[in-house]
Amino acid sequence: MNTTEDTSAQIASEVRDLQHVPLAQMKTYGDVELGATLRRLMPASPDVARVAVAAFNSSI
Amino acid sequence: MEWGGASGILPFRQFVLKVHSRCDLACDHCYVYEHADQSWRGRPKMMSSDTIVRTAERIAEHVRRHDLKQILVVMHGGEPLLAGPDVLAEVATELRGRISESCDLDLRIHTNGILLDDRFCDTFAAQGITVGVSLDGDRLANDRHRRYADGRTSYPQAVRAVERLRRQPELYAGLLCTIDVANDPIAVYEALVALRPPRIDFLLPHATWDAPPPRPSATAYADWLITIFDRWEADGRPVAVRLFDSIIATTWGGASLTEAIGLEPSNLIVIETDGSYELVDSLKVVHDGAPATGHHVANESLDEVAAHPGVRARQGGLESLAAACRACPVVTSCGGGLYTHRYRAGSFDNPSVFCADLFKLIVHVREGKTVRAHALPYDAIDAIAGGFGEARDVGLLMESQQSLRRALIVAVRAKAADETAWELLTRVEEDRPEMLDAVLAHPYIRVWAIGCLEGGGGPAHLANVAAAAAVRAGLDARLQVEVVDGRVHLPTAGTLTGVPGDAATLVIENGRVRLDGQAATWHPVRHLTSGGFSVLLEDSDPYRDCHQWRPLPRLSDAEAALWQESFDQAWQLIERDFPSYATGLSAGLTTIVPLTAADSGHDVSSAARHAFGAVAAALPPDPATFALLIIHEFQHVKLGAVLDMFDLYDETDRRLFHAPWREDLRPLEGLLQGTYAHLAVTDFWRTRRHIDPEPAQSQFAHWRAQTAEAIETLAESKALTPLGERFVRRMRDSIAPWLDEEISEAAGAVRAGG
Ligand code: SF4
Repeated sequence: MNTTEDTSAQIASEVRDLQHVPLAQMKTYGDVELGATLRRLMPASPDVARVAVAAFNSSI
Repeated sequence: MEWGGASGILPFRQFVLKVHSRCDLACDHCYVYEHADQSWRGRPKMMSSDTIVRTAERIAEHVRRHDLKQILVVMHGGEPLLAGPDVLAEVATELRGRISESCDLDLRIHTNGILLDDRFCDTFAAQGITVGVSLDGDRLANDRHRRYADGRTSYPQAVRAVERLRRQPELYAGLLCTIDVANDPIAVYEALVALRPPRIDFLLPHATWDAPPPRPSATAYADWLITIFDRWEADGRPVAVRLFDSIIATTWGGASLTEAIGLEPSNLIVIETDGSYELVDSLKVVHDGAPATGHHVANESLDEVAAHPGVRARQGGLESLAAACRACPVVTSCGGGLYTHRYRAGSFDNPSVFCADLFKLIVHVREGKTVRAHALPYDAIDAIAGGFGEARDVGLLMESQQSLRRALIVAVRAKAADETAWELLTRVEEDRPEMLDAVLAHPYIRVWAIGCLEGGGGPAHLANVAAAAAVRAGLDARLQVEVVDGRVHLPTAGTLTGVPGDAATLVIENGRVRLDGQAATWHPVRHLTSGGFSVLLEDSDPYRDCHQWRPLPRLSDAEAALWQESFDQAWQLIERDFPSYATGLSAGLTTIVPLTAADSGHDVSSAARHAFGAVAAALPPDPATFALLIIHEFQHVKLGAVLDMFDLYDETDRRLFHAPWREDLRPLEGLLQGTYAHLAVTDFWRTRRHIDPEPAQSQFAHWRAQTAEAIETLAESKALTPLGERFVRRMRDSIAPWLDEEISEAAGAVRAGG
């Protein structure tokens, strides 16, 4: 097969690097920051923010 | 996004139903009555039953045709409560009766709240309708625009409506505030937050380049919003704010939550009281007739409307934006702003009339948001995929696991009844962060947290996690902890036994652990060691029972000594004969869980997807078997962590595949996991041939043939992602030279016999 593969670069995941974000700050993080990370583990969980659509502006 | 089949349209997922076209207020900033489009004058006041039924039929047809799993329907106006509870119930009933149960119908209403009373709330509760209310902030702010036609304030009525909703929080969707920069932003913010909404949003006023907004300074709207943003951050984000959350989400590559910003395509359609389809509502400010499509529920399907050029114009993403926006450094968050705000002299090919504000606000919100994503260098992926992985490579997997566990802990916290455990965790982190990390690295914390979030258990164990961290950090604490089967387990620290009930008050003083007012015996955790390497011997954690086989109960000292002896010998063997696995294992293997032996006498071992770092096994008969089980199971651990980070295959592919080592067919993940584990099993026997020729020769011949066959099944599955294909190619690269290695005739015969 004729493919070229990149061996120098890296591939980013959807898992946010939260190792150095203090828990005291993380507790204020909403679903927005954690959603992408938790979706990797629990795609169907109601606690995980769903992938959003461009929601109608004039309602909430 | 999902573009629908051959027609190439993007299905609608949001439907705004104008159930009533008139309003009981006369807000001077309203886009329906006070701007260019005056089509409301010629429309029926209310949606008729016939239009309601046709609309519901059209939506149900669209859901069926595109197999939509979730849609949003917003009842809007004018003022939708003017339609009365019976008509609103009719809308809900017609929709729910026609839309298949496989589609989640999110039904909402947006109101000024003036008429909201118990009758409406009972209807909404019965029909599963959530309610958003327009409120511009404190009384002064609200009175600036939101008045009755005779000039009276509407503030008391709106607040009464919100108070009514607060008594039924399941109905309370949130508050929508239109910005007027003449208002005091902090007073507006405080007034809104005081009403404890689940979410709020701030809307930029409707304006275009032809009809610009009032603007006392160049970035008045940004400055107003930044004042609120800074206070919101300082307050610890007490409420979700859709605009701010959208900027944060898009900053990290996520999707916007509002059409006000972002590059997401619009999938929204408006249906007027007379049944005409209209484009996005806010276009009413552009020119008379701007939102019209010329289509009607009686005549055209939603698929036909979806092909309308006006609909498609708002689905073009980056490519469809003005040149200035395409080159803008914040375009992934801004997306050119609300479509309507771009209008100038007959064209939408412009940045937003709020461009300067959006730019300044987004740059401000993004400041300090430097959380990066975990990544793997391709050479690390290649090394792991080849079956191995150095300490650095496995260390990168460990780091991403640590982030996952921290995210889980934060998510579980939201379920906890009080904050004591959380406060203790943050105290440990301030004092001895390395001890918090050490406890959170325990594999079974994730098992418990996932169970809790998926409804399979409670959050009480969070206190045990916090207590374990405090014990290890040498901090004094007193808190209520979870008791399971007479034990208080503090992960990575130890277990108190002989405890009745399901909760107890734990006291930690000067590094010592006791229960308040009752006796219990403290058993510190034990470790298995070999040379400088050490793993936890986990025989007490109540959440370790997630393997295929039952875990053994707490070992006696004599049993633990047997495990220690066997582990020591196995680890020495791994270090001596399998150094290319030892390095990854030493970085990632943290825990061994003793399992109950099988009645058949077969070797028993397991790894669990949510227990990164742990290998479970029944005590193997000899060190070589123990070494093989560890190497085999740790393959599953590594691959599970890779799958936590990346998609290697299409998860929606439900096909089953032949795995040469099993009689039943396997889903793709099962085949991938099995193949990856057997790659190491093959290598194990390949090496053992030189030490213990039989059964190693035959085993090597057997497993290399089966693994090679499975690799080709994977490669031909057409279900792998590009990264998955690369992963499988690396597996093939590893096994290819082994297939050419000489084996004895007898072993070859075993292979031929299969
Ligand atoms: S900030 Fe201005 S130029 Fe940049 S994307 Fe938004 S509207 Fe366009």
